[in-house]
Amino acid sequence: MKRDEAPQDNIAMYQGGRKALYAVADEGTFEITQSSGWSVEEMATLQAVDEFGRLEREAYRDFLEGTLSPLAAWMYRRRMSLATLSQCTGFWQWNIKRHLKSNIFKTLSPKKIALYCDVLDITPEELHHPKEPQ
Amino acid sequence: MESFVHSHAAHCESGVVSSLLTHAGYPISEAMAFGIGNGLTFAYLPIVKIDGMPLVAYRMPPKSILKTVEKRLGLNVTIKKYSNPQSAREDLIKMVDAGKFVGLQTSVYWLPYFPPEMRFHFNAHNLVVYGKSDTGFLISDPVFEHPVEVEYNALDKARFARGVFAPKGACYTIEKIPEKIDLAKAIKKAINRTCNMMLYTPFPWVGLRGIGMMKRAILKLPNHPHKRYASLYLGHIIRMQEEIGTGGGGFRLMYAAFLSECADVLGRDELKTASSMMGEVGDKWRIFALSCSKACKGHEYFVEEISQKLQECRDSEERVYRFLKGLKL
Repeated sequence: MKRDEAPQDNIAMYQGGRKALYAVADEGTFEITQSSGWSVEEMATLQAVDEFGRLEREAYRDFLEGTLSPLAAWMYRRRMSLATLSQCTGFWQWNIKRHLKSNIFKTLSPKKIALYCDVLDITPEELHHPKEPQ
Repeated sequence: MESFVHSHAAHCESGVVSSLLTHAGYPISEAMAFGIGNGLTFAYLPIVKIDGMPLVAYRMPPKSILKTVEKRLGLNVTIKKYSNPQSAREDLIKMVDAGKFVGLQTSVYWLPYFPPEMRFHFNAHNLVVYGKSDTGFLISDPVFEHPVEVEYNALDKARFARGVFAPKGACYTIEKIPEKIDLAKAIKKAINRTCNMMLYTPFPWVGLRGIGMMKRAILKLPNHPHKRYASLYLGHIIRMQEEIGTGGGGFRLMYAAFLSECADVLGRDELKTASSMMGEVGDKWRIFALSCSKACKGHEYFVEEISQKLQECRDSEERVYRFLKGLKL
């Protein structure tokens, strides 16, 4: 990649910032070049973000219907999968799956709720009343 | 107190190592730190899942650049971990007051200055703390263009994130640099090590064999029961290769910069040739990413074409490593 071939797609998520890439300068040596983003990278990142958004909306809908606990919507809002939440809390995945059910969530001890709140960086009040996804 | 000069780098760990070493009195570029730290590799681990996707890595595991550079240059690096945020913060304030520049391991997700779209749960990000103000620490994050300031509480959160690679407040400083450093020797050792790993690894998921394994996995994508999976899978590869601060082409372009610097240090012009060969490898990886992105958008779906592009990356990489082995450094 030559220096003038470094992508300058001005992608929105960089918020005007630029990233360092290595490209060939005039003398034939590689140097750091600033790039305002590549649309290929943007697409891949937004796809991953949107996937969590989609899961959050589904979980929120199920929460309103009363089948899922609010924990599911919060988990996806914080861009966590079941595996990530399990690694962060130390609970087994099958245990978290139970906590995702509305009826079992209601029986959780304050201690467990506090741990979830700590990991998700929210208050118990917020945990019980998730905001509507954007 | 010595003043700190922020420099913009492609990758967090090599950027921090380069920055700390430079301020400790041994100026070294990011690419050189990455190269002698044996940062380059390829690994495809289908068993280890990240958000349901196999682990794809173009570089060695976190902390390995720091530790390898420490070993090769004979440095003295102190790494500390803490059991609670309170003592971690107090200790950091003490170090900063003593005029030290401190490397930190943090989570990406909880750093407030990261753009929202780019926040994911990755706990092995690196940055340098170079000072403090009344409300927070002054931070030089090498993958950002300018230094930033982060409030005390926010940084505590990022330093004590839980999960895989949990940082536990890890911080490190370079204590001592030997008077005489044999850079040429370190370079030769590092290049040979990387070539051997890529060419002759006994593990099927590492090095060139790992690339072959990923290729076979891509060819099987159309058989996956979930339609969305293939698209998410290819997007995941692109992110691991381009988004997470690799300098382009999954660190291959940075390695090309390293080889070109080595040519000057060792006085061997053949390494310039190796550098431009590695540059072409990096470009091939970027072409591969481009064809993955076309498939992601669902325009056309050519696993054959994508795997062909990947095969070209693999073959041209093999030529570089064989060329480097042939130089008998």
